[in-house]
Amino acid sequence: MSLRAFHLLFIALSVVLTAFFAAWAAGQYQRAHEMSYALTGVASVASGIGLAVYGAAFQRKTKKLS
Amino acid sequence: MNIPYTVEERPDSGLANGKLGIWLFLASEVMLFGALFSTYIILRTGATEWPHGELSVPLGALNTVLLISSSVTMVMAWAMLKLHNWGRHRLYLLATFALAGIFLVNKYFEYSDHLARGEGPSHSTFLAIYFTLTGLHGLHIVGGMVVMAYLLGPGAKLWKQNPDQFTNRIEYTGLYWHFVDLVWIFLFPVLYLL
Repeated sequence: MSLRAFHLLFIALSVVLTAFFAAWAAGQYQRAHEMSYALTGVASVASGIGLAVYGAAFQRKTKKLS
Repeated sequence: MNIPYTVEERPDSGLANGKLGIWLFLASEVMLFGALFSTYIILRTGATEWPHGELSVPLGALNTVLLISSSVTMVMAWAMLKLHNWGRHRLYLLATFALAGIFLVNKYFEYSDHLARGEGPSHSTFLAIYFTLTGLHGLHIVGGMVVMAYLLGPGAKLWKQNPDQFTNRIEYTGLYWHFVDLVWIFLFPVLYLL
């Protein structure tokens, strides 16, 4: 496996982590009703979207690198 | 005497020696961390109660952001060599080194905060496995930094003599670095969130 492929796998797993972190923050918010948890959840979802967009752009732009 | 297959692929394995070597090494690392993760699962499932909220989630999340960013800068350092942009390569590799350094500084503050409160590895089963897993991971971060320092310093000379071999070395360092980052991607939810 090349570094390019490993990087794409890593970014995919990072997106899964942001989804998990957002779900964790939502659970904490339901329990404690603290605004910081809601903000954490939103930031995590935004990070996940950002990482997914980055991953797609990286895959497109580095097709010729191997 | 020249070492063969540092750049070209071996006909039998289809890989250059370095790539085969780094994947064999990473396979052994999977077994090492896999054993420790298994230990964690056995300890946790066997415990009558397990502490929650002992670790700083914001600090752990910040370290996660640092390591994900460092994987981006690492792959960019490699991509810049492929595009023959030496200056940008140096910048990205230096950024990776700096992000790793900030990660370790955060870890130092986290450790010293626990130790100041008398919460060392012998305090509880949770802290014992926490210090073992994150300590070993931290040592891997230090190892990666040593390699990066070499490639930024004396090892950089190889670029002028054999650019393809140097590019391969950066790729192997990148593979190792991504593995270290991947371990953290599992450590963060397991230790800080669950």
